[in-house]
Amino acid sequence: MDLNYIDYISISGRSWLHRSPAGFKILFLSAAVIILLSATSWRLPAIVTAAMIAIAVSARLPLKLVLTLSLYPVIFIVIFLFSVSGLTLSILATVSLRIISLTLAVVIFFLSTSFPAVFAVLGRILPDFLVTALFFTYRSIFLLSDGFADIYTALHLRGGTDFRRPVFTLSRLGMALGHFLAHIIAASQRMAENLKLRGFHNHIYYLGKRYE
Amino acid sequence: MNNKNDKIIVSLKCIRHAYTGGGSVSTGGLPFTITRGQRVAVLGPNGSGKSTLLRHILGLLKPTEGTVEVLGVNPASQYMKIRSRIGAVMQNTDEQLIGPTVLDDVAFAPLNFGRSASETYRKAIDILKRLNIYELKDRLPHYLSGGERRKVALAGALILEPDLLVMDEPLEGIDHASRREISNFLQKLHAETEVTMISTTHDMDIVSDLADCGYVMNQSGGLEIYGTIEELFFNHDLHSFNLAPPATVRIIKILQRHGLAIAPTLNAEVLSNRLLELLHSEIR
Ligand SMILES: Nc1ncnc2c1ncn2[C@@H]1O[C@H](COP(=O)(O)OP(=O)(O)OP(=O)(O)O)[C@@H](O)[C@H]1O
Ligand SMILES: [Mg+2]
Repeated sequence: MDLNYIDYISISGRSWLHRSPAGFKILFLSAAVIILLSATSWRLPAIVTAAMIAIAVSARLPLKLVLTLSLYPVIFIVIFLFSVSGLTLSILATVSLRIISLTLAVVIFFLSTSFPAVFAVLGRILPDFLVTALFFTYRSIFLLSDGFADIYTALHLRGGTDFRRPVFTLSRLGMALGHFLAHIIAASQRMAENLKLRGFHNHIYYLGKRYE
Repeated sequence: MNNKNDKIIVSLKCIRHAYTGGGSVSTGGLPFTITRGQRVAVLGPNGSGKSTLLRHILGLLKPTEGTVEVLGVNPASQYMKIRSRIGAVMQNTDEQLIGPTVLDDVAFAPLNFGRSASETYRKAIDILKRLNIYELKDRLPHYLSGGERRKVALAGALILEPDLLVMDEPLEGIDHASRREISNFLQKLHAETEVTMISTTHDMDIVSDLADCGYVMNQSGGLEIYGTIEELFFNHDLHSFNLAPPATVRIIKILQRHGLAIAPTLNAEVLSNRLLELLHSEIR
C-alpha cells in the first residue's frame, strides 16, 4: 500500500471535498458509520456504496486506488463467511456491502483530508498525549519509509539484489535490515535531541489557518 | 552588571567525549572562548569533531573530561535555563522538522517556550518571507527537498531571535542565489541584534560571509589555529587540514610570488578593483 501516495493526494487535492472542513467530514463519516452498522438489509449499504463512489468520482479521486483499497477487507469477509453455516445470498450481500461501504467512506475520508487537518480537529477533542502519540506515529512512518527506501535503493544500485541468487539476496537484505535498525536508532536519537533543543513538552501546536 | 565575564557567551576547556559507539573526540589545544557578537567558524577535515563540538555547546553531549559553559551555565545539566536563547541548525535536518506543516514547524519552538500564538504566527510569516520560503508554509515537512528543509530549519532557529546561533553546515545543499540571500540576511541580523554565531562549513568561499574569525581543527579534534578568516588563509598553509583557500586567496598568493605587492582580501570585487588600479597606474 502506497502511503506516500495517499498522503500526497490528500494534501495536493483541490476538489470541493478536499476543501470542505475536516470537522464536517469527520461528522459525516461518523454518521455514515453509525447508519451502516445499524443497517439490517442490503439496500441501505448498497445506496451508501453508490453514493460514496459518486462522491469519489466528483472529487476526482483516483478511482482505481479507491476501489482496490476498499476491496482489501473483502478477502477477510470471504474467509469469514465460509465458516458461517446457513449462508444465504441476502446475508452475503448485506455483510459484504456493509463492510465495503464502510471502508469506502474511510478511504475517501483519508484521501481527501490531509493529516494535519485531521490532527487539528483531533487536537480539540482528544487528550494531548494521544494526539501527540498519533502525530509522532505519522511522522515516524514517513521517516522510516524514506529511510528504508534509501537503504533498499542503495542495496539495489550496488548490486545487492539479484533474484536469480535468492540466498545471496536474502543475506544482503538481512544486512540492509540490520543497517535499517541502526538507522532507526540513530534517527530517533536525533529526533529526541531536536525535541529537547526546541523545547518540546508533550504538546504539538497546530496553528492552522486560525490567524490568517 | 557590565563586567567582563558577562560578555563571554561560550567557553570550553579541554573537553573530551567518548562516544558509546567507540569514537572518542578530544577538543584540546587553543582555548575556545567566544564573546558576545562574535561570528566564529569551526573548520576542519571530515570526522575531526566539528559537529561534536557544537553538540557540546548545545548540551546534547556531556563531556567525559573538561568543562563547557554557555551563557553562564553548564548546558548539559541546565539547558532548560538557556534553550529559549539559543537557535540551532543541525547537520542532519530530516529529524529537525517536527511540526505538522512548515508554518507550524517554524512556530514550534516559540510556542513551546510559551510565547503568544498570534505574535508567533506574525513572526513566523515574517521570517518565512524574509528567507523567501513563504510559499512553502502549508507544505508538509517530509515532502520538502533537502535545501528547502534546511531553509525551514534555519527559519525555525531564527524565529527565536536568539542570543546565540549554532549552525552545523547551514548553507550545505542550498543553491547559489539562496545562499547569497541567506548570508545577507544573517549579516543584517548580526548587525541589528549582535547575535553571536558559531557555524561550521566546508565551503571556503562562504566562510567570510558566515564568520569574522575561525578555528581550524586538526584530524584528531585539536584546535590548532585561531585568527580572522583573512589571517587563516593568508598566513597559514591549510592544506594539511584538507582546506583549500578560496580563489581570491590563491590568485593573490600567486601574484605575490611573482613580486606583485597586492594587499590581502577575500572579496573578489575588492581584488578586481585593486588589480584594475594597478593596471591603470602601469598604463599611465
Ligand atoms: N554517535 C556517534 N557514535 C560514535 N562515534 C561518533 C558518533 N558521532 C560521531 N562519531 C565520531 O566522532 C568523530 C567526530 O565526528 P563529528 O561528527 O564531530 O565530525 P565532523 O567534524 O562534524 O565531520 P563532518 O565534516 O564530516 O561533518 C568521527 O570520527 C565520528 O566517526
Ligand atoms: Mg559534522
